[in-house]
Amino acid sequence: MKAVQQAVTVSLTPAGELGRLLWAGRVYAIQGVLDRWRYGGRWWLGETPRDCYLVQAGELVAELHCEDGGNVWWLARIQD
Amino acid sequence: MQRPLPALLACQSYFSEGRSTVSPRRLVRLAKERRYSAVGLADWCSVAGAVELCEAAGEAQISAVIGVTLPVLFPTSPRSKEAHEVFPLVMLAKDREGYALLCELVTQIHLTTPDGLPLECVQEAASRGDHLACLTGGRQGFPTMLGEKREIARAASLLRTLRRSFPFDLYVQLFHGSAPNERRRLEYLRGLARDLELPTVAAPEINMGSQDEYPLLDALTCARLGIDVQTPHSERPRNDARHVGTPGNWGSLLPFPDALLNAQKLAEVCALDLRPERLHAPEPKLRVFQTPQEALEERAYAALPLRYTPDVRETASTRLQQELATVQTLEMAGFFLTAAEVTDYCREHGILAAGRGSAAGSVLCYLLGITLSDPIKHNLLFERFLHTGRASMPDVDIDIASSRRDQVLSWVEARWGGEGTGEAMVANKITYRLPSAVQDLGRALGLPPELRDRLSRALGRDYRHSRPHRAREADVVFREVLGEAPVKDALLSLLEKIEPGFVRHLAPHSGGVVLSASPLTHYSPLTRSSGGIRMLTFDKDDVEKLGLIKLDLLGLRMLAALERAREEVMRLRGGWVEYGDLPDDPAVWERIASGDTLAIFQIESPAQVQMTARLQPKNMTQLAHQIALVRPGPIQSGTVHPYVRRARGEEAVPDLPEPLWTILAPTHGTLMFQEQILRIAVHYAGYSWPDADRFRSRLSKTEDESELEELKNSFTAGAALTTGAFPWEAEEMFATCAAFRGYGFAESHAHAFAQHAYSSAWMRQHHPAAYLAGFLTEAPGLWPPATVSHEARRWGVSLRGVCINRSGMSYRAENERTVRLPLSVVEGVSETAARQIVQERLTGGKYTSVEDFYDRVEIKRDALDTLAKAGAFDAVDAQKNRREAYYVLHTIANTRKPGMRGLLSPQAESPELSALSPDELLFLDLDTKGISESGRHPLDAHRARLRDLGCVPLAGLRHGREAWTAGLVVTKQRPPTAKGFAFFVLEDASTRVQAIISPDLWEAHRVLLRDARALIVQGEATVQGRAVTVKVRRLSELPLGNWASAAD
Repeated sequence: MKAVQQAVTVSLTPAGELGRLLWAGRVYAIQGVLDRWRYGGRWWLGETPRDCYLVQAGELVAELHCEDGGNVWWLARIQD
Repeated sequence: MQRPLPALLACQSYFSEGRSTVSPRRLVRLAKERRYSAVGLADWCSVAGAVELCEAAGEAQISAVIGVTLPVLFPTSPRSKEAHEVFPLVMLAKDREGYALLCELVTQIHLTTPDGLPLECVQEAASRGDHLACLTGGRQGFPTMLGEKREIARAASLLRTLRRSFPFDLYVQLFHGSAPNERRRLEYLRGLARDLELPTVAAPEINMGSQDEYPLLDALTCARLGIDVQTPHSERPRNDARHVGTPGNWGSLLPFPDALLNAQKLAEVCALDLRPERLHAPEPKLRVFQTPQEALEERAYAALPLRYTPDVRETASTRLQQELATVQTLEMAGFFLTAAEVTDYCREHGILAAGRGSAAGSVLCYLLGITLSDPIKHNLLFERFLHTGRASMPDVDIDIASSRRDQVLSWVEARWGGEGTGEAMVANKITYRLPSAVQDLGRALGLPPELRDRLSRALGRDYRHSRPHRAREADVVFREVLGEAPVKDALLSLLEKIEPGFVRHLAPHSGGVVLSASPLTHYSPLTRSSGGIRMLTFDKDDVEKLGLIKLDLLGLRMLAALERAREEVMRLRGGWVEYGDLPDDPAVWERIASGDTLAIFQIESPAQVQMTARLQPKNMTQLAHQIALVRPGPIQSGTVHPYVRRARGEEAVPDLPEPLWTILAPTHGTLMFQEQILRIAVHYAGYSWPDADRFRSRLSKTEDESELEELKNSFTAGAALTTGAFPWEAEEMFATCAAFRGYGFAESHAHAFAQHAYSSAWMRQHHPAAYLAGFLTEAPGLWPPATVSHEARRWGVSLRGVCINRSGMSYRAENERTVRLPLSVVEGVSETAARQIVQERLTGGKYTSVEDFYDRVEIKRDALDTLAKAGAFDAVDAQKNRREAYYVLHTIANTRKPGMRGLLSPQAESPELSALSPDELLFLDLDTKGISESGRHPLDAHRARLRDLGCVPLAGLRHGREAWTAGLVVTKQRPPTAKGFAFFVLEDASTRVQAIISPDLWEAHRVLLRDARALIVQGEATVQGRAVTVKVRRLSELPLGNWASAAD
């Protein structure tokens, strides 16, 4: 996996599932969630827990996360 | 359709010490709200939450499952260097026997194998019948851990081993921690179970009440592991997944119907309530074919003519018959005989001991010698102690001279704990207060120790007892120490999340001992405290709910002081003082009535001194009333002022209807004792004794308005029926009872304490030197020794300094007017060193010089220096000068080690050294001993300066006059009942005065008042006999130089 850590746009389906990922000017349709977990975060620095997803989006295998209560999605890593 | 999770089987509470953030009661409340059918508690090596769980589950009408998480030593693979590897197993009790097995296993870990339980022990427990269910553990369990290491064959082998012990009760535990690869892990666990034909069970690990407690769980884990939050560790929680959650949520995370079904099945099979069981009292020593009741009656009737004169014997006999009948109904004869056996032992060994509390209301206890005061003489109520409807066990509290309590406890352990499990101390649940929480969580956040200590100190008296969740109230203190650093907010938000009453750890109770004829492991695991005391893992309330019988063997320093004083009298005069039989001496009462009560048990505090000056007690009953009066209960219920006015004849006692008049007349129409509430409930509101006891208990504990309303309604209705009281009358009476709450003495208790108070006053009057020696050695009071010794000069007793040829291990009366300081009072001189000095003196004769001492005693250099500074060599030193002794010591120390004679001793003349000034001597004394024999006071050195400032001495204060004055701060109090007022006692060479500091002044000078060792104050004085108070209007600090004050 290669670290990216960039803000990306993720749109959800009407059912609340992950739908599409917009990164570096390209749109990737998310075909499936391979794994999901929660990360507690460094609470002592003010970070909040977040949901993390490993998704298959087109040819990308990407790790996305979104902090609780926030709207910003981050692309943490991609499989190289 | 998605099935929900029916029950939580593997929760951990704060009894897991640093592994959870939630109490058993809150777990149950959350589970009930979310509609789980059962809560299972599987704390780490502990079942200490079991009683609370059962009680809360009973109230919430859901099932309780009792289990424990045990670290088990599993054999490693042959290639491994280690013989064992530790993995946790969750064991659930299927019945009462299963619970007893769990207790035994936990005891085994605590007492024998702290690193983990050998697998053979688990197998042995399983072989004793179908009483336990075994779950393979969560994230740290061996199937998961070995799976991650790809040692699947070994995991399977261990499962087969366990299956042989639990053929039908071994479950592979499925959990979900929202960690990466969780789905794959669950598939692996299910596959493993399927291959081995084992059932699975959905049992998520729960360590939090809600998700937002994750930072607290992480910080507590770090505190337990001794790391800070920056340090990674596999045991730290990764996220907030381990919270109670909803059944639906857990069902979707663990969507395996068989595992969910098994959770329901286990919840039903393992539902258990510990509480109904009762324990039989320990077996007393009896003659053949004699029953405990017969033995009790025989002993009580034999003592009757010895204790009661013929005129009251009839009354006593009738009362005794009633009490014996109650005891017989409750089958508690063995318990009374056991308590009597303990007090017999104390008497036979010359140990001063006396029963206190509600037991003092029992004629039976008086006849058995458990208590010393006669309940008939003082009209004390037996029903407060015991009645046939009583659901809980009675308390028998025995005060024992504190210096000999360990001896009694050792004997009790030998007498009842012969097989190792018949006796143990009750535990105390040590809950988090602000300072302890700041220490633990501050360490986790990486605060250095000195900063944590500063913060703890700064919290001081104001917030020392505050619960952590109210930390924001101390925001000003946090800001003072931590400034606006981000860690301040992190710490405060952690503290706020700590549940009120959060248990940090268990420690031995101050005196509660449980004795049992059967092994105590049937009821509770046993453990050893850090001090080596064997104890249960339940506190006194839990023990009572379990039906265990508890004896409170409490150490009372005043009894130790009295006992020591008695020995001193014996040595000096050859007479024996019988404390239970002291003559009534008018001179003693006169001195008490004048407010001269320093060093007297229970009535030496400033508040009591003032009360004494106003009430001027002249007999034991009045003294008992006074002791009981300065308590939160009477203060809150407004009893104090009416009582004082009526006792002084300034106000008539109101005309009360019967039966209130009979009940309240002895206390001048006021409510002072718990017994009076019982009597009012019975005779005024028509309750039965059991109902009255429950009424009193609920009234004192309830915080709930609706429950209070319910109690009021039943009380007023009962009063109307019984005495025809109008509702407003009954409501008024109820309001008085409700205001009293639980913070008052039982009358019997007050009488027991009055006895000790009179004994101490009598000894001070007749044997002041002996009493001072005992008092200073045992330090039972609230005043520092320097204050007591100053006061003792007024009694005509002076101190003599530490002397290597005369001082011993404790304060010692040399004659009727002088007391010698002990060697151990010198800072840095340990008990061992002091004993060595005395032993060498006894065997080798008196020391002849500083050099002789140096040659004969091997003692640390620091201690030698301090002894010289403290003046211990004054008697043998050539120039009688501490400087010279110090000089000689240093000269010899350069030639040889202490404790060996030199072959060549250089003879050199000491130089002429100037003598120390009186103030230098005083400060040396206070620095090295905390007490001075010189009779000078630290303020004497400042007297001229204070006079120039216009300060009058404390003794010069006049009633109603404003003045500036100054004094050393001796004690500081800011009681919660005082509405923010603080009370400082100031002292100079002449007397002591209480300074009353208003809340505004306190806020304005908080830091000064916290740190000041001496104060200059201006205010109006109130003088009443020896009780002098100053209402402070202005104040400032009086700097004293580098000498440390006696006040904290």
